[in-house]
Amino acid sequence: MSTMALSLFLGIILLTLTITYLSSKRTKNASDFYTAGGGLTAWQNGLAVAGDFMSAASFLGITGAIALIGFDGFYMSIGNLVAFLFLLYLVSEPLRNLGKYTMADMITARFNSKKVRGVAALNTLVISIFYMIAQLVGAGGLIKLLLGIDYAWSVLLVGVLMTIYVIFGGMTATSWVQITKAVLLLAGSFVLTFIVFAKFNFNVMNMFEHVKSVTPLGDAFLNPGNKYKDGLDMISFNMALVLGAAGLPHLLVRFFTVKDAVTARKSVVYSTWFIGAFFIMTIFLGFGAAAFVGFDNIVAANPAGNMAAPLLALTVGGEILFAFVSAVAFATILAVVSGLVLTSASAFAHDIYGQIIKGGNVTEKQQVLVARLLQLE
Amino acid sequence: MGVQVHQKQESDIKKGKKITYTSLVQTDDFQELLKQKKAFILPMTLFFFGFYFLLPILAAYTKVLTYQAIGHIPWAWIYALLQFMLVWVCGFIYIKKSEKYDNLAANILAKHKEELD
Repeated sequence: MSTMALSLFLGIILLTLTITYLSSKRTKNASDFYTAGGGLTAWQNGLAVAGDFMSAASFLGITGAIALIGFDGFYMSIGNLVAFLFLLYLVSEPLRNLGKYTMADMITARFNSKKVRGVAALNTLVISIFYMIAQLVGAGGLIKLLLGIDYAWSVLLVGVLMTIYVIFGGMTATSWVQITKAVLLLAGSFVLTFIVFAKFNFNVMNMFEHVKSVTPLGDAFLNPGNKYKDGLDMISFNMALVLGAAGLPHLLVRFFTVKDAVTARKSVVYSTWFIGAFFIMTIFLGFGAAAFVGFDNIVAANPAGNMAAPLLALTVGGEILFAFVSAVAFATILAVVSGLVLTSASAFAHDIYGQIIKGGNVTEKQQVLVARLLQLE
Repeated sequence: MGVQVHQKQESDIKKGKKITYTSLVQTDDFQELLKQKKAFILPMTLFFFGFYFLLPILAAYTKVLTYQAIGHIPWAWIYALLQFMLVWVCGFIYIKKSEKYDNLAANILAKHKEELD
């Protein structure tokens, strides 16, 4: 483990803890805790939405997928981006107008029954827990690879940190950790993209011509159909991508962190700019990894290609860039996991405890206390 | 804004104003606004879904996307980038259109304000 990598990791942890400390002083009531008091601007919320979406899966996963299977890897970028049109046109405004803290609030605005609320809350919990398990496993693997810390300790470290963010800072801390990480991730990707592009003499034609000659797929690398050979496979995969975003509870609560529907819709549009720019950069990262790291080295580090981006950083930027990209990937996992924990805690404390068990006769203080206690488990 | 009015209506139910807001929702002006919004959102949604799914369909059942468009770049990548443009353009259109509907909603509220008070 290099001193550089370690100090950057510690830097990230220190930065996020500072954010949490500052946020904790601003978190006074339930609304602050669940939705940052609805006080984020369109820009801030746009960055936070983008941050929620640019998870380790997109940064590490898509880069690796493009590097290994070419165009079929890029499907993930396209589908994830178009998903935002779906969110913007059909989901964002009704959700903002009807909801208060959770998904279930929105549904029960029209269908007011405890059973409906219970099912909605249960949905949120189930989706978040599965999503979180995947992120935690990824985090453990990543930290083990980068810092050499034992897998179990790595997962524990992430668990402790996210608990601190959420318990003390609530949604304000979660949002600002997410915004900070989105900026770091965009900056890191931009630096890598710039270096890769410079190596191809800033010529896209060169880049496309070159990657065809370096991967085992040859000419087929640039064409669809390397992974998804069956038509229905390809279509169902794309359907999951485009509709999936609207089913992510930690993304949907982001519409409650702004003051009204106008700000909600603007933040979705801003986030499409950030995410679009990021996904275009994934082409450069994936192609760069295929060209400069090489198929065999990527697969040797991780069969799914998840190490393609950090390895690309090491190859083209040396130890410093490698450490930076790894630290950003770590921050990404921390931020997304915190969002998931907060969403699950809200669903439990607000919906199940507050509205169902106590029938709405519960003070804000009690709710927040339950939400905070929950994360300790 | 339809739903905003609805939310307002809910909070007014508690204050005993139910009848007035229910009747506001039933006014021709409001129904016209709902109709206009639907006439915008529905076709647009169908359009971008169609545009989106055309890519995997073409990729799965034809060879057109594998032909080279510019230099060594196949059409698949051009189509993919068009989808990025689609998202940005449709986002812009939505913001512009929504502003119009917000104004209409504000007008309806202003027009019927006296009846409601």
